[in-house]
Amino acid sequence: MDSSRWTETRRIHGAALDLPIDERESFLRLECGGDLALYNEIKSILDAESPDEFLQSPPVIEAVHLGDFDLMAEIGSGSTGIVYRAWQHSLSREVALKLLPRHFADNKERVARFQREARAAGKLRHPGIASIFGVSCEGTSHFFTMELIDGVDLAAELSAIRKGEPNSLPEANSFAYFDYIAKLIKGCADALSFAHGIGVVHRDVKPHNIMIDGNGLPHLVDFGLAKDVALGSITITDRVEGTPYYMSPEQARASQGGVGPSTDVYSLGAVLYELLTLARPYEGRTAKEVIDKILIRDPKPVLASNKAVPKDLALICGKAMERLPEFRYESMLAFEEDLQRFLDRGPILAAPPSMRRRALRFCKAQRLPVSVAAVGMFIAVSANVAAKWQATSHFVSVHIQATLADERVAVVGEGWAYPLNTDGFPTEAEPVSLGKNPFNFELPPGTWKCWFQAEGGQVSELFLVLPSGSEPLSLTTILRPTEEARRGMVLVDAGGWDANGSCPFLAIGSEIPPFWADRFEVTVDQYREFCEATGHRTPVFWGEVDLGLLPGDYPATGMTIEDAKAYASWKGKRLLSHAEFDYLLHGKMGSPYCWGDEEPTIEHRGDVLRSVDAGETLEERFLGFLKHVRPVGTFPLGATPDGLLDIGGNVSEYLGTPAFWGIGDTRLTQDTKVLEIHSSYLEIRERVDGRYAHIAHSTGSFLHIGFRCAQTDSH
Amino acid sequence: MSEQQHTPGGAESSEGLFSLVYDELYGLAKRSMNGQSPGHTLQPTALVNEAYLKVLKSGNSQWSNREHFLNFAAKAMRHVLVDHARKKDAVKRRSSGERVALDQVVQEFEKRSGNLLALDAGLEALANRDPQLVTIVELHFFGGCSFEETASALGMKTKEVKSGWVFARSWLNNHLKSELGHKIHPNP
Repeated sequence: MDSSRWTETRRIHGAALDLPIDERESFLRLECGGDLALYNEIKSILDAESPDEFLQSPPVIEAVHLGDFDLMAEIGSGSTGIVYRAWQHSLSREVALKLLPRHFADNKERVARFQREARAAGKLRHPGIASIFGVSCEGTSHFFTMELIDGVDLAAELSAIRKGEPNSLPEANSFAYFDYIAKLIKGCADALSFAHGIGVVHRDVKPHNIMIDGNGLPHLVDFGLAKDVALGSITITDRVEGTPYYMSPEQARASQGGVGPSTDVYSLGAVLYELLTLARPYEGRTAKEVIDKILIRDPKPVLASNKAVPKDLALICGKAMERLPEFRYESMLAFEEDLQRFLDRGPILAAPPSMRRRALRFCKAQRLPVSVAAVGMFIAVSANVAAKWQATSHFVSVHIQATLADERVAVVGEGWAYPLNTDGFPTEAEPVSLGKNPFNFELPPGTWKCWFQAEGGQVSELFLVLPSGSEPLSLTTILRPTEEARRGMVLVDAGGWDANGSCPFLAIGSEIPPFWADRFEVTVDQYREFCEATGHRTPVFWGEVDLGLLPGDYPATGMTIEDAKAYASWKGKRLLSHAEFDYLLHGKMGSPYCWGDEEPTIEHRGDVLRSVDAGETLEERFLGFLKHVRPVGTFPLGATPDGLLDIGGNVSEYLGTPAFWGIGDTRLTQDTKVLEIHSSYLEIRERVDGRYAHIAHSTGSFLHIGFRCAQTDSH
Repeated sequence: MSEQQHTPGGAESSEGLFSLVYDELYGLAKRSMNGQSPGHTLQPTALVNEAYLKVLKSGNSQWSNREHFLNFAAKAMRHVLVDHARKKDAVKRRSSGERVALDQVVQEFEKRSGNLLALDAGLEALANRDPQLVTIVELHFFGGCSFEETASALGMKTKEVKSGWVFARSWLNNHLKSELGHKIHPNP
């Protein structure tokens, strides 16, 4: 490697490190230009920055005597320091002494954190929490002393169980084992509930920090990351750090202020998960990989990993580990009480998630994320629809009321449901008649394209994505004359094309029937008209920026996928299917780009990527958006052969059917996850067999994701 | 190295000084680990400091500059440990008290670095690209110097040392992983 290249590597690496984790990727892409080798080199170095102890200097202590204490042996290490067994001369007793490594002694953040730990833990007097005796400093050595728990930590016990070595727990998978771990976790919950009661959140609950004493009782240690609400927070506290395996999604996202008591509920749930399955909820080669998984995937269901687990205990674990805090136990106490109900063999509170909750989880409109992370082919992952996709015989009840746009009254008409495969290709199966308006019907789980026609010829179309076990669904749809609906649309004749061999991510499908698609992405003006006509909520950011700056011919962004679907439905249309979108991206011949083989330039696709990195605040990002996004149709060079614009450029787009995309380059199988939305490729450097995969971390709203509508030509 | 004036004899002299430090450290490391209770933590800085004091006492004026000494000492630490690790690998260990004592030192380091021989090879590879980063790793990891000490030993800003360290650590971590195809250092 020549020296200028090395300098460049170091410069970009250093600059990326200064950014929050979820912004590094896009920065890196931007900085590396099209230089894939450079990108790969820096990315692998960034990924290797794990929070473990690799090359961290051995702790340095000036003396084995620290004031009143003799250090005897190192017994462990926590997030903030090394723990020694020590002898206290004045009181003739053994204590645990935690020493801040000397190389942190002049690091103000570390010292502050160390003292915060002592203060936070010092407030806690509970049999399940190791008591703090005192805080002190000798020379440059900061340390505090605490109750010495004679025992082993749960991480060591777990490791022994896994290896079949002797341990203090009852035999794995026996009744006694499950009862014991329910008691153990309940003991931890009791201690944490106490801590929460006086305003201390542990934030680093993991097996390593749970000591088991000679009586088999748990004691929480290491409040090194604790947040004391009364003491306020220090900037470092909101940064992602520590062992990531037990981190809650909100912690992994490092969301400011979003980390409260429920983060401990999640992490304790993750510990329970490991005790039940003997596997961590998420594994990965690097911290980043683990964090990515926490952000976008659900862990393998407990019962799928270990059938021996009592169902109620698995449900309790699932509820504690819900991805959204509001679906977890409302408090540590509630978690504790449910464990007690399990131990009493009574009915527990935790229940399999209902459809309404899944739907909420699915489309919960979040505020614009702190940083808009991923670029490229966006796939936001539906939280939990996952395992529910395995074919089951449970039909889903659907109620659909069809009305005409101009009259807003129910009309006589017919409806059909066409079964699609998971990528939105038609399947061989026969369409199902839905009866008459209002339509009440039941469908097997899966993806369906529903088509409605009134006697006057008005039509509407929508995708139904039905996970098995869905609760009854109730919708309205608006029928419009086709000539009205197809204004501004282009007919795409995809006949003869199937994805076989074209895209490694698409299931092999049959031909796509001819369809109409909006020539441009839906604009701000169009979306505003919809909101005004229907009272539908406007994108959150509209209320927070100077809307006078936002041109009406910009693509509308900042809405959730549900908002996009609502708009399409109001127009009597639907979003594009994954299959259609892929066809538009690559054409019959499977070209690398939607305009053909020519390498992309800004003239083809714009430079929206820059807006993604425009800043920390909404205002800054909005200004970046204004600067780098262009009015629809600005990039004629990027047109598809059918004349559609911005399919591969300007903002990304939501799609209407789920897609089974790989995390990285591994394809997901049907029983792992359903991914709900994704969009056009902004970023075309990371080629995966000619396709570009990327993952967005949330089903929230994004400044750089818009949408366009589509409609099948004829049925 | 800016402190060349302290080694007027050039390479040969540097070589000589190096072996002096090396011998001193080797002996110190062995002695210091003997008789210590198991689980006791190694103190590389203490070793280096002690070696420095001894050399000063020996009246060798070339060591009047502590920063200069640190550079050598850290390199020497690296070689002491890697040497020992290599011998440990190559020869079936005889039950020698001294050997066992140094084994403990190597063990302490390998807790943080994984296989020292692999790390050494990684450092060689890094030296081809950026020798300064290697010096930072030697001072901070093998010499146990703080970032501030490292910075003053190299005549750099602390901030530069820190960012160099973060890069070097990640680079090495990545390099070792790809060399071995798996993670060689234990999970925390």
